[in-house]
Amino acid sequence: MRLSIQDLSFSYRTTQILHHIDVDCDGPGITALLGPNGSGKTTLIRCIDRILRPSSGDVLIDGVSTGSLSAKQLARLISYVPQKMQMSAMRVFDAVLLGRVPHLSMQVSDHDMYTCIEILERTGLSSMMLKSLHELSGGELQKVSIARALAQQAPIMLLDEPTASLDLRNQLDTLKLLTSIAEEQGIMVIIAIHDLNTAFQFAQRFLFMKEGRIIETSERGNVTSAMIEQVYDVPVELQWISKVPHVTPRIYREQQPCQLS
Amino acid sequence: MNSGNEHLQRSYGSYQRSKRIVLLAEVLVLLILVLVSLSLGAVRIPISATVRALFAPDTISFQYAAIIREIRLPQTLSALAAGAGLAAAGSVMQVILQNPLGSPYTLGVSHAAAFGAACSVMFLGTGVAVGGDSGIIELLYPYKTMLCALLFALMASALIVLLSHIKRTSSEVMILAGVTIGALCTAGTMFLQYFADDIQLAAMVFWTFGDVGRVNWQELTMITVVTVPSILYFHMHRWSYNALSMGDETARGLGVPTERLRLTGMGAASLLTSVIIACVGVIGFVGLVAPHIARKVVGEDQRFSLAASVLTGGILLLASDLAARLILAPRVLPVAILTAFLGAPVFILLLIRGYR
Repeated sequence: MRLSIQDLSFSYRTTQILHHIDVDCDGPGITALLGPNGSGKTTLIRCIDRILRPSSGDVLIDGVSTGSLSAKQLARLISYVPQKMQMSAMRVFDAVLLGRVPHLSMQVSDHDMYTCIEILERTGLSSMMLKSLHELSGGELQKVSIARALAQQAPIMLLDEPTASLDLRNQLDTLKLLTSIAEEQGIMVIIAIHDLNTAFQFAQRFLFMKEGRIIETSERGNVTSAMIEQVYDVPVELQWISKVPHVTPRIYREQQPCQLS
Repeated sequence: MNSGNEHLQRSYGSYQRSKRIVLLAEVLVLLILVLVSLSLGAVRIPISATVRALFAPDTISFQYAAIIREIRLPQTLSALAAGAGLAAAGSVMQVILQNPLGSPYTLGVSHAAAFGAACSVMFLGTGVAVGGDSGIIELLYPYKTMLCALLFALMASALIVLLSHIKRTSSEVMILAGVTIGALCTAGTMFLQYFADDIQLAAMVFWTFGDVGRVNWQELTMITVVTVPSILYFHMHRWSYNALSMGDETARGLGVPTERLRLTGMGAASLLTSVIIACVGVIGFVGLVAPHIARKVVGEDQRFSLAASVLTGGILLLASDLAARLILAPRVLPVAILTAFLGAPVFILLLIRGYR
């Protein structure tokens, strides 16, 4: 599966948010979209899934323009996990079953049921499948959202800051789940994420965004401190621990401890 | 499939069965209410005679058969169809607007219909005093009034849909547009009432008292012709409505065209409401309360809650109509008064107890 973003721009009223983005992603694995707040990560993800219509440019999946596909056809190719899921009193199973909407005709088939049950087991949600979404914690809700996207069985999955509101345990669980699913099912996963060290640990490729442009693309082994400094305007120190880059802002290292009077 | 998976499927299957049992129970209650509604009134007719009047009218007295087939049957079926239609419209409006206050009444469609009826009384002279000294006020040309009410309700609905389309169809815009149009129409009705003479004023007020007793077979056919396809249309889009209840972004990610869904859903719900209100007058609360009760009973899943809303709406309006006929018999109260009397406490109870 190949995702090509070609000369993509997006404007909201008179403000241009994305500027002529050109990037190709190929094959399974996790790609992290990195950049400061307001750099256009969420907008890019929404444009890829045509939740927002680009002002110009195109997104191609295996050479086919997403603009030429119906909404349902596109939903069979790309699944999307928004930053926040709107709260509903729906049951967990029904929420996951919604992932089958792009595949449904009139009735839920046995295949749809089996798919959802497998995913519930895989994501550890089976014990709470009849619980209302209201009763779940933030981490569990995020899992439901990911499980719903998995039920779409799309070869490309987009996630907008899936770990933003999660504690350390849930962050790790969520990213481990995505890594294993990307490997096993050959899914291309693109994640917008803020935590650089978590991203370096789990993703293989990185797209660095700043002011609506992709200014660097890199594999994990080629990440440099210059790339990060250019994107975030913060001096950083990069250490390699077990072939994984670990970034520390230099400013904090040089700071003196506060004196309490 | 392993045993764990089978267990999960069984659990989900029994969960769904419990919802179907609730729907079946509602159907039974509705059928019982239909029979009771046909047999009770100013003249009490035994249930056995009521059943025979429906299936073998030649075997009972002419009077009984006439009362049931000519008076009570259209009234009962109207209550059923109008209640089901208003509740279906309310259920879909609440999902589309993602707001529990969505209903034909709160969105100003009812107020627009009342304004249309008031205009017809004032400018087309459809409200007159008949019956000589008895002073009974009737609408002499009910179809003209009905048509005016329908026209105004449709115009209000179109305006809400148009305004929200211009502003990219957000639910907030739809609700605010509806509330504003409702306020405007209420002001218009009050303006006309201020300048109306006693008879015109009485006719205007009479029309706003929603009452299923005024519906004849032609109007019942009209309500049914709009209600049945609308409910089927809503049922066809149940999955899309479920996706919408998880938020616009999620729904679009699932391939649901949210803007088109909102516009067509609002259009269908408004047309349905407009036709019902034009035929039976303003009936508040059913469209608001029935979907809330339904969701309380079968949950948010639109696959079940739409059907439950339809049945609950029918039960609510039928029970209200029955109570309206019996409370001060032989005097018959307008059913709209009873729907508010019955609906408001139920709604407050739901609010106090909370629902998830």
